[in-house]
Amino acid sequence: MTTVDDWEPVVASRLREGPEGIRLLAHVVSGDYLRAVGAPGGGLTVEELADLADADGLAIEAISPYGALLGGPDSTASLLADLENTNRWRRLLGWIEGDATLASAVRVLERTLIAALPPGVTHRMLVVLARRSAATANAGWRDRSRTVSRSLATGDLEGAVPGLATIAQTLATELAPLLTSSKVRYLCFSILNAAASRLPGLDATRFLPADVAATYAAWRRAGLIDAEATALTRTWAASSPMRLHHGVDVTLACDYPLVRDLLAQHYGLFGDEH
Amino acid sequence: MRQRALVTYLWDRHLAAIAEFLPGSGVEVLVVPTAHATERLHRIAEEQHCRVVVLESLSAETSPALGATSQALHGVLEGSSWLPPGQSEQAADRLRAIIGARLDADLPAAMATIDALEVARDRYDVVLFVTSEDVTSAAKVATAWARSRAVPSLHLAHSLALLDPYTVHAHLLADVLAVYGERGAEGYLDLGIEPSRIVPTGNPAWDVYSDVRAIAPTLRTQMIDAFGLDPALPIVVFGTTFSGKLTAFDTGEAHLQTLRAFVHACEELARSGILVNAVIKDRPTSASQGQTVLDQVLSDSDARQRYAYCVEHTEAWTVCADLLVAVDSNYLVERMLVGGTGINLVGIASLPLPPVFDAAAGIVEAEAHELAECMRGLLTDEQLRGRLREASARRLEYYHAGGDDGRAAKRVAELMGRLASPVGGAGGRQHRPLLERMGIRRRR
Repeated sequence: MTTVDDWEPVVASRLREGPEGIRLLAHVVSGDYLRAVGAPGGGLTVEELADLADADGLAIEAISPYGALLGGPDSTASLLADLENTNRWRRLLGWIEGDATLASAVRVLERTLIAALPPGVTHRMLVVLARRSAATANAGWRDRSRTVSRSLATGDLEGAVPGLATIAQTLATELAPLLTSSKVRYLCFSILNAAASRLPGLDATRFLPADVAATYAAWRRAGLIDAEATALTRTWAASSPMRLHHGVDVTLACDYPLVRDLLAQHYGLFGDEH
Repeated sequence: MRQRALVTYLWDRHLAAIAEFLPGSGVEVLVVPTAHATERLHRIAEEQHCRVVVLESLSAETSPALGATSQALHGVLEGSSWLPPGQSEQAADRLRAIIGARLDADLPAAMATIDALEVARDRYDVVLFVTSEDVTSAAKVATAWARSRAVPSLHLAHSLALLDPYTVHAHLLADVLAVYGERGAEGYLDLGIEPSRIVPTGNPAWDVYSDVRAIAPTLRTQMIDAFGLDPALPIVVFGTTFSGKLTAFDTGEAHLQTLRAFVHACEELARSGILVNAVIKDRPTSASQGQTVLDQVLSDSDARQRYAYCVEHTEAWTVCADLLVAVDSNYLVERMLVGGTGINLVGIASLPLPPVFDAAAGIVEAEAHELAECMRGLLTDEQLRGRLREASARRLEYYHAGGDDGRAAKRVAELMGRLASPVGGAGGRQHRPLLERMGIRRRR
């Protein structure tokens, strides 16, 4: 066994000089992902990867994103950072080991959805490189990466993810029996919600059975209602210095009953009429 | 020299902390709103030679400033700049009417409270403000007053926040929040509240369990007699829940839906030959119609099990039950305290929320359709019960600081002592930064 400190040139030279067909499986931090979440530099974009592979006479055979949920949070930015940095998300994922249904759902999401999405979807990707005498295949990856960027910029999901309809259908079918678990519903809703913040046109009914998609819509609405009602209690009188009595905001006294009244009378929840 | 005073909005169940705090504190006066001037508080004050001053006695019922304040705030509502975007004219008018009605209902008492607190501050050296909640009208305003006047303030949580603090709960007004265990801090940390402002103390109301556990066998016999239970059958207690209707995630039907799920599970057990003493431990707030609702659910279910109904004896049932089923409830934490097993019924009281127990807590989480099977497992599998009890015991400290040592009131009192302005200090003025005085360093 050989041990070297500076392994990258060694690997590169072995690949360059090795026999036709020799393969390298590499874990690569996705530069496309880091740019998507606004992280400062680092990683390799698909285009950069293609350039490097060309220079070394290698062909990219596969790029597969992974570890959106199972790899633990990235040390820097993350598409799921708003979730991953919370105790509630850690509490949920902590159940994976002891909750077979939740574990199955995570597996389905990773294998059926994440692995089929463009490389920028997580910060981790596995790349298969092979020694080929005529490494022309890399141009295809470069073209595809540009197509993905263009499609995502215009909200064209079909363009970014070829075969999306089939993937969505498979996902909905595989998830359906698992969605009887409230933990799985919360997991899926949270991920869809995070995705929807970047892709406003995302249609949940493609990924969830119709009844669960309806619950998701109610869940999203509930989050917006809670946020709006809470903000309203703090903002409606903010412009008036008269709200202060001996330096104390007297409208604080209204907050608790006001939220209750707003939910029932303004938002029409709990069967009360407008 | 003005007498040292403590302003307290503590609930009756937390008063042991005051009893522990007073000796040596130099506090001679307890200023307390009528709602919290209970018999127990008077007794504690008497024992410690303190005088009780009822807050409402310090000011007029109507603040002199009420008219002008109310008029100005109603004036704000007449405009439109405060409206959330996209409201129709009809919706805007509805919002004006809802908020206007709240002003009329809540302002008079709030302003009188502030007036009274100002008089208290003139008359006494208010060294500490303590409350069991900072959400409802009077307590919220009073806590804000303490902050604005630099009176050290402590919010002793009235429950372990298993549900993440939402809408009316999603803030911390007091200087410091005492939580029962670190688990109770999680939701507040997720809101971005500084870890240094949160201190795990345990719940003074649960100190009783260190004694109750010891008399469990006697208690069990008494409860079986009192409720006509079958001594040969296991006791399965269901702690009911309710809909607070303070978040849009609430279904509004939590009490009925979860009760129905429990009864269905019990009947499924009966059909498979497992008979139990089912006890519905309802909440006092549901007592007026609780029995009627239960009777309706039972008649719909063609019930074969025996069901007892009560709204009291919370602690007794915690230790007497062979199995406790509850819904996102502190009752299950109490169950962990006494070394018992419990099931959290999930998925029907609200739209999907994060799990309230972590996987290490030893509490089984069951959807409604899984409940009967989970109950069967816990009633028939001694090894499973043993594993879960061991897990709960290992995790207890995270849910309740000090575990079952029965010293939570002492820990809260010590925290109150660290927070209170020192003897000889100018009232309300801090000689050292508050957190330094508490001996607390930032954890992050």
